[in-house]
Amino acid sequence: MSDKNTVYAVSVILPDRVGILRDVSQAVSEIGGNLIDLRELVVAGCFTLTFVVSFEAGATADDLRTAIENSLSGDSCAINVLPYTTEHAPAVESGARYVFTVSGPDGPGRISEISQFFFERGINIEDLKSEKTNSGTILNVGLVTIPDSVNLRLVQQEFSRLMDPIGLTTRLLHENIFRATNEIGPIHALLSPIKEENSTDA
Amino acid sequence: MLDTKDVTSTLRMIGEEHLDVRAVTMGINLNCCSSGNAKSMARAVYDRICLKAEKHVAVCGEISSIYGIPIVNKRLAVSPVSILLEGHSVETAVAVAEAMDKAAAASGVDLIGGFTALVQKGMTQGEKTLIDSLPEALKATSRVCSSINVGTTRAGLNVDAVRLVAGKILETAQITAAQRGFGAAKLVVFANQPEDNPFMAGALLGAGEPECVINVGVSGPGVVKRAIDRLVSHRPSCTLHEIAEEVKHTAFRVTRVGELVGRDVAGRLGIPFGVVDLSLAPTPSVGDSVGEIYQAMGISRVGAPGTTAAVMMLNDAVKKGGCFASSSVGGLSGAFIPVMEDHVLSKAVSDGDLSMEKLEAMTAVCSVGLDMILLPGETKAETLAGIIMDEAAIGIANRKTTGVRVIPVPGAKKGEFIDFGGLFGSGTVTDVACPHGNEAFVSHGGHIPAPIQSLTN
Repeated sequence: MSDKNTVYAVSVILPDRVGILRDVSQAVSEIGGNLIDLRELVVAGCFTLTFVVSFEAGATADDLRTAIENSLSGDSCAINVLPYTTEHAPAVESGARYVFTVSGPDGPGRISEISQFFFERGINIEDLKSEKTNSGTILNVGLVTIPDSVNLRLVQQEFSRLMDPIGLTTRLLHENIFRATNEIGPIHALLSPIKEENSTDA
Repeated sequence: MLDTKDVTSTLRMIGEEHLDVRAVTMGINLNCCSSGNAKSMARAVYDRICLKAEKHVAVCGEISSIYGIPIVNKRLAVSPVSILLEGHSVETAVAVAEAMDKAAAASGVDLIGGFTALVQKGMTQGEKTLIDSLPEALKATSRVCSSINVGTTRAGLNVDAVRLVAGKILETAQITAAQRGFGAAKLVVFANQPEDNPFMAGALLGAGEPECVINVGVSGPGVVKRAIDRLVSHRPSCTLHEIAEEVKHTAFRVTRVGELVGRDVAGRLGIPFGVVDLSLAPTPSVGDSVGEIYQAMGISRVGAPGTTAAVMMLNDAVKKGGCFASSSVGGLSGAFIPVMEDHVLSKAVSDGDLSMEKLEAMTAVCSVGLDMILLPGETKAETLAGIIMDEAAIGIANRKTTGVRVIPVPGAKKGEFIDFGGLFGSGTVTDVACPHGNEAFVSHGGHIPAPIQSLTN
């Protein structure tokens, strides 16, 4: 044990089985780690775990990696441990959250084109899912933050113009339309953050 | 992250099931425009509407892009114009209507309501002036809509006003004969007219409302119809109770969209949000029909016995879902049955399945009355007055809104097809089963007292 108040971002990937989360969380706990954010996802049978862990009494990256490796000794796995500070947080412009969908025939380079499109406009992709539908087409659903300085209608038009020629249908809509139609909380609670962000419009 | 199923179901409602917001209507109080000088008053009306509505259409367009929800109509509704007309002439009333028409055009809206008089208990000189001006005012304008409230549950029915308005409906149709009497399509006669109705032709900004406000009328018959279709195809043995539940859940989602859009528009315009009107409003398009909902429920021929029960069930389920979705529900809030604006209802009338009398029964359990119905040109004023009195009686006795918007088409006979185009739709001229025999009753005039509100058995 060395540095005090250390924080690490960790990713673990391995074939899914029962008990992976138990094994990893126990290993982290035993060396004094406190999980402060965590996401678990199974993609095509592959278990992926990403988390941020802090150590009040300090811990090295090697200590942490070894503890996790030992807990998964019977598995073939990939582990990444990255020292984490707030400087690692990406500098994302403030803005409103939008959901984009891209649907149509599958093909190589789809995700690459989508991500390149948003990157070129300074738009951060915060979440992305890609699923095969019952009809055999691919549906990509993503969450992006569109900075206030970006012209939404132009982005919507350009996104459509990029994807239409390859037979893909796009939508880029504010997340509140999806939350309004699928959640039961009051509408004004959805809108109050928008008002703050767009106070000059009111 | 949102669930993919939630995302796709919302997109399906928008893209495939005609989910839209039917009307975002800005209410504007015009009382400050009152003046003894007719020209000054008309100018003040124009200026005030243009000032208040300057950004209305642009903001609606912005919101439509953000949420992907079409806002079919951006409209205006003003405080009852009759208030401005005390001490003025019919010519002034027409001038004010023309000022409203020009202001609506300048603001980019298709219709403006509020050329209105509330005469349920009696009639002032200004209110009579407005009613007298209706033929000329509706001929001279293309965007102005008028509504006259002739009765309330508390006040009873002003039969003198009914007789006067019935005559004006005929005059309006005749003076707009070149458009097959279209002027009458912009005039509705109400009982228990709501103060916050965003839908035309009865939209107005009534007493007790803010100086300027946004009210929203949702739509979504296509969404409800498809939801029932899915339920029935998956479970053909489903009960009516299960269908009602499906409608309720769908109405919840539709209402939430309305409130989201309305609150965001109001917020960006810096004015209060008023209400969501839960009415399921059809358009003449296939897939956007209330009649198709009844068919999805199992009423293959609208007008058959059971239709009224289907209407009641739909209306009630929509209200239950909508009232859970929003605490700001108002306006008419019910299923509309505007015959010309709904291709299924229009066909049912053409086929002889749906009579005026059956429509009247349906209006007893839904919103909003005998709406967009073509009548023969030879219809007498007494017959029109009787139709209005019957419909008003249903509203007054049942403490609900009812209205009459009928078009006696000059020169047209029963069975003739008339097409107004656009949202006003098309239909076949129909008639009441017994158009004569009420003359003596109607000609008594006066006032039908307010009904007793206890001993309700």
